[in-house]
Amino acid sequence: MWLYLYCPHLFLQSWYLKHYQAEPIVLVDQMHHCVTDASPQALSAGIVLGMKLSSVQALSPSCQIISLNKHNLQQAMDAAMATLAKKLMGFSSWVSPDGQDGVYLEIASMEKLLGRPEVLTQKVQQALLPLSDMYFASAPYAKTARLLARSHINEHLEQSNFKEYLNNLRLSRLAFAPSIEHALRKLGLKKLNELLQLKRSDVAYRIDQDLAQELDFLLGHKKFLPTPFELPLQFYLPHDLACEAEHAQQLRFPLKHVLNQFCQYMVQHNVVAQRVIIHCLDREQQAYPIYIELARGSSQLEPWLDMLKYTLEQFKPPKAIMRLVIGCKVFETQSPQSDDFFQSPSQQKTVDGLLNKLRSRLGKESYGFLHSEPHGLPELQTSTSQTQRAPKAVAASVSRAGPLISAQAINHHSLVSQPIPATPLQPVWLLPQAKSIAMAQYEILHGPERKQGFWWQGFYGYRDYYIARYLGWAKNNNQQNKQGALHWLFRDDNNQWWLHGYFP
Amino acid sequence: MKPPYSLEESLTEPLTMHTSDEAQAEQALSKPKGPASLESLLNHGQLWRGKGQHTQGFHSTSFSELDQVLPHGGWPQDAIIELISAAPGLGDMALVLPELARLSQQEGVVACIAPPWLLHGPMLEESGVCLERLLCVPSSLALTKENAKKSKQEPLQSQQWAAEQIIKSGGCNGLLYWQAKPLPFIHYRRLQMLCGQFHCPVFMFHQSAPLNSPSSVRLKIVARAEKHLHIQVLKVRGAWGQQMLNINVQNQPYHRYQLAKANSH
Repeated sequence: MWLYLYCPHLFLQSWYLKHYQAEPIVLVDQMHHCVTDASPQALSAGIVLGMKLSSVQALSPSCQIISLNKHNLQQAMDAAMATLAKKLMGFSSWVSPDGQDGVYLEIASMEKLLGRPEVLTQKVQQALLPLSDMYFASAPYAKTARLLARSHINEHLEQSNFKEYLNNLRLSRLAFAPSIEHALRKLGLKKLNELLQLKRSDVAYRIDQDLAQELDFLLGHKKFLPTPFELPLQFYLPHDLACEAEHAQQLRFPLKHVLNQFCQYMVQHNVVAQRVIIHCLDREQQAYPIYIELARGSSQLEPWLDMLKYTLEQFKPPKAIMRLVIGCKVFETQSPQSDDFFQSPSQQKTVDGLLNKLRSRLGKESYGFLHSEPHGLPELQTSTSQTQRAPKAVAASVSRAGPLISAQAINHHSLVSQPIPATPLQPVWLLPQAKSIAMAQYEILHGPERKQGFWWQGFYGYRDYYIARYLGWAKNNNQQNKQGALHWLFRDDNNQWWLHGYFP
Repeated sequence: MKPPYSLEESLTEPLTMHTSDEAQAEQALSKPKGPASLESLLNHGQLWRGKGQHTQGFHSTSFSELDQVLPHGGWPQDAIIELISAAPGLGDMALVLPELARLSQQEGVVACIAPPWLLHGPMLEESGVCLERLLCVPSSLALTKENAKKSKQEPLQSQQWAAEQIIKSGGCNGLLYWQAKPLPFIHYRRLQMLCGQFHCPVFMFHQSAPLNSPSSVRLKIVARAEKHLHIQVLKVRGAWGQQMLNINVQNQPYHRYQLAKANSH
């Protein structure tokens, strides 16, 4: 026996309950500026789903408009559905979200404990207050309950009467997709019984392929079992200290024990974590958080203990600590490991250990890896990030460099001249901000090369770049500066000269 | 007074206090004597020989003129190499770029500590440097309030600490270290010991020559001409220094501009 809960305005009720109850409110897709959901008050004002934003403002000027992009909307809807599913797990051992506005509950196994479907529905409604505008239907099969609830039919059918009820149900009461409704009207079908009597192949050919399969699920000819909802992993472990800890180093041993349990938990669930929060509570339950963050997620104890050591060196508890609470909510799946048992240890682990040390002692911004970015302006072509990307294939120009020669081979190795590497076409150094210069100090060698930002990235100006030899103060004193440093200059569209970089 | 080779132990192991004469005698007995200890001194660069055969490895600089001057025909792989350039743009990085490209293609990372300006990624990639393996520790390290509070160290101390940790990690193929002012001698010494122990070449960049440093190679870029770099070899371990070199550098960056000029004419 399955119960289906349909909550068409779950997002609006979850995140904007006060507005939902008080005034018309609509949810708008930021990209297409179309209404994707609307409260009953907004619907009664004439707003319909799919309507353009300008039409909404014309129909109801006082209407609250929530505009979200696709990614944020998906995240918010998933969070609302997860909250609902967690609450419903108190009523059924098998809860399964269906899209973003419906949930299946298996209720046959809970009937003795929680009562009949009608009673259970009342209990669920009470538990979900202040959520309203919900539809409940129960039936022997999951898809039957779903069809009824989504058609706004609050019915609780038993095995004995559900076929008779379905046979007499008018198709106009059921919520099918518009294309299916149109096809059903064209065929002149009025009752569900007439549709069920058609051959499935005919239904698939004349109306819809998916509908043919749905009808089998509806009558139980084929078995449909929804995927059960699983609670997201969450680690929470309180630990009372045997005696008060006044110094950070006194926390080291109990924290080692706690971290060991944390690592065992990760190994059991085949996940890794990158960051854990430890709340140190004093006698007045005041919490002093310690954040232990690795450069890369790990389920092994050693890197966590290393980081703990460095983190505790920076931590001074203001008051004596009585209790520790360790918590972690974000886990990543373990990356597949090599099957080769005798493989040589990877240098990646040593690099990760180094990054952990730098991060713990010198802060999060203490290091970075460079990345090239596609951009028209030189200063925006290089970015820095904390994460190391996978190295690219070896560049052809590197083949000029020969292999490492051992000291023993020196006697046999003649000093053959290596091919000289091509001098790079761009400067190796860029100033963080271009510096205004006087051209009297420079001698232009080559140029210009015009560079400009891409218009789709919001840059419209251009720059003419030159390679110049720096003469410095010497020229002003009628002396020749013989150093000959090469600088990278540019002239902007206002004819002003700027120093932007240095050549290697 | 401790002998200089005890420094290596102090870098990797906690100091142990021996107060009694017996303990000192035991320690002395446990140390190998004779050729073995001489070997270890040579291996760790503590003993200088005219023909420095103790160097673990070397690699060509990709500049034949420079290779002929260096005693092993290339950059030593377990020592400090100092490059002195009075002004930016004279060509100090041009000498290092081929080696940087080679080191960055090996598993592990190549670290850049306190680069004075922003490194230009596309140029480095053109030179064959694998950017994904280039670990940058910025010069503004520990200057922010948060970091200063957290580390309670001066920026230079933080950089020095980072340099030692990077070499000691064993995952670093090479280190490029820029300094606004020369390090105290003891820090040079510590770095040199670590270089030898972990076989990690360190390239140090200065604006002026330090008074005293235990580096293996010290080069000064005097001037840059159209096709040559004028270099003064100040010091080379295992060979005679004080030479002037003209290193040939092909000036290819201009071909694009020349083409543009030709088109305009």
